[in-house]
Amino acid sequence: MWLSKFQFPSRSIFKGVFLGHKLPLLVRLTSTTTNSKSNGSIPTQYTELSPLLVKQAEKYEAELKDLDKDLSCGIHFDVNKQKHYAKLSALTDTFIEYKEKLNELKSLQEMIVSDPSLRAEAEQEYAELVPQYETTSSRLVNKLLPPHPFADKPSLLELRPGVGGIEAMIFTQNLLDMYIGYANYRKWKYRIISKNENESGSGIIDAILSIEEAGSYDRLRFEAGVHRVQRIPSTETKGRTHTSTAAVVVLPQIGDESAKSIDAYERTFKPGEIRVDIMRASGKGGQHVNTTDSAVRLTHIPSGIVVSMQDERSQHKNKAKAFTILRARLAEKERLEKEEKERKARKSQVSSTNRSDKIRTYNFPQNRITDHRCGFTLLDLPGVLSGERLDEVIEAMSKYDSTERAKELLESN
Amino acid sequence: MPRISPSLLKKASSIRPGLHLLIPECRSLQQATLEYKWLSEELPPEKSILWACLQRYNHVPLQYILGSQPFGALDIICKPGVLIPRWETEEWVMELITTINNSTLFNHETPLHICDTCTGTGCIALALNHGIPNSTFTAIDISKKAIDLVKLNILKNKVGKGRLIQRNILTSTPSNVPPLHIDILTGNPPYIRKRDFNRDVKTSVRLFEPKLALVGELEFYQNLVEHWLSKTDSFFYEIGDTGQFDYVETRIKSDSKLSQSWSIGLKYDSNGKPRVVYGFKNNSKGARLLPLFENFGTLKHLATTETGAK
Repeated sequence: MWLSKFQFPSRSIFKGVFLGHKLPLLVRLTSTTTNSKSNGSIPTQYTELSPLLVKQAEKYEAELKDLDKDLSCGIHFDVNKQKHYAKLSALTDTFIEYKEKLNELKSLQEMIVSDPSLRAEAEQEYAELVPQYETTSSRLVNKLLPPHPFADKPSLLELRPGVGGIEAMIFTQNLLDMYIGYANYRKWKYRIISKNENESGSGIIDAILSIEEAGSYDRLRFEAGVHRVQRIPSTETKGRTHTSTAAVVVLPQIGDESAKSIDAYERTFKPGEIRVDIMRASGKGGQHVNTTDSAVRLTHIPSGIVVSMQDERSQHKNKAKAFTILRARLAEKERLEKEEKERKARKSQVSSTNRSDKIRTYNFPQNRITDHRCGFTLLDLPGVLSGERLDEVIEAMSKYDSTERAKELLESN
Repeated sequence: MPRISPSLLKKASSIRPGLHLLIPECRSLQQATLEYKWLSEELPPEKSILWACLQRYNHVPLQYILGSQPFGALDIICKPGVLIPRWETEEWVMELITTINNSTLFNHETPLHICDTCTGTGCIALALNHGIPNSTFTAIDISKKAIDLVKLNILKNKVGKGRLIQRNILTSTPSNVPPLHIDILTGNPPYIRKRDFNRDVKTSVRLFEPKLALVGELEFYQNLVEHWLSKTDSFFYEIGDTGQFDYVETRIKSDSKLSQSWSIGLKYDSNGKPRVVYGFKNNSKGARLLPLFENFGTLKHLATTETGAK
């Protein structure tokens, strides 16, 4: 009992990383080779990719060769084909690198076993090579997986407090600051599209943050879900620890929202699909009144999605923003529906990335952050909440996600 | 207007110091909070927010305090003495830009010439010029303050140079007023009836915006029919009530020549108020405009000759 407490010092301010459950990177789609049969003195072991994935990579390699032939014959490539070609050649490069590293490892192993005079050097080299190999192989897996449909899109983050009253609102503010800090850390351009502060006290009622970096959606999509905080709130007088939550929704940004493209948005909807409501004022309007009544509400009738926007002084700009958010919500909704359909068709279990689950806990007394999906734990709350070390959590999730997706890919094959 | 309850004022002042000063102008706590946010974000640093709230309490328009009003893609400088751009104007101007740009009828190879009367800040002329590729503009106003402000707005928004004319269009003979040919004539003339001025106009407008840009009967619409129709292919004039539309419609219908060549429409704003009277000529160029403006508003009168005499 006390031993386990000793191993997980719950109250010590211990900065550093440890893996709660060791992250099973590439487990299940790889066959682990415990290599030396003669003795157990091989310093590290490596994992080979599953034959199925290797086969897939070989298929792409063959396709690239065919394309190369076409190219040398002088056949014209259109834009799509060029893109495909570029993708294939990048993939094949990684695959070749992977094979080289794998062969090197294998020959080193043989050397260790067969040539005792070189053993010490070979072992050292082997130990250095293994991490390099692992990076290459995970890069290859990522490239083999079909990309996320919105992987190259900029993103929108919507934050809302969940249970926990004012403390939840304060936590929502903390999360917003964290994402702003993260955007600064990655040198991404960002903008707060709307933010409603709690009128009677601190914290926020809701906020929408736009991250204008292309591809930020691919990084931030793991943030979607319920975030949980455990701490003694500043509003608490008796020193009790409270648990509160905040919800984060991550949406892909489709197109940009500059004033010119708003008309393009409106046009892509069928007439009658969108209802635009403005603040209805009595009186004659026009020159008679100069109040800034700029609030706009959009209703997408087929889906029932309603977006209100009032932050800008110009009705036109509010409308543009509202259309951006509406488009993002619709795209996300369609994607989720499609994913759900595919999953049902495959009859596989619904993975734990379901957005209704709580995904992460921020425990202040223990200075701990745990992501419940991949089991990753980091003992540096200030570092994560400032946005500087959030990347490590996201990286762990991204690895976990590619593992899961590779698994799904293999299952469906 | 409903009375503001003292408890609302008390509540507002407890949220932010000075917020309660915004309530009489904004009428609701939500709107006041929004205005407070705009003031705190956009106020020039040398001015205090409490001062700004006091100004608002004294009915000074927000746009004069902040010195600007967004208009489509532009940020229009606002100064006392010149009418502040309204959202109703922004709405129809943006729709006009979309209608013209969506059309394949304009190839944008030959430049379109825009003429804006009673231009004020220049918002209509500048927004159209900014939104429509390959266009030139003339902006006319009687007031020197307005013309000076248009110059500033051209510089600030980096719009192409246009011709600015300070002139009273009601008294000058039209042949003296350039340009010779106009593709799109626009205007936001003073349209508040004198008898309505004290009753229907918001205090802030009445006290701080120029009466010259507000009060007018039918003289500008009369001027439109009598002097401008011969020079332009289409016109878009903002109106304050249906009376002004009726006047233009009757004048054109009753004139045998004009009724043959002009189609007239009425556009409502999204608040359901009549806002624009527009028309286009049924000449070789104008005939193609018909399908374009069918959805812009409601057509009330169709030119009686089919293709029109060229």
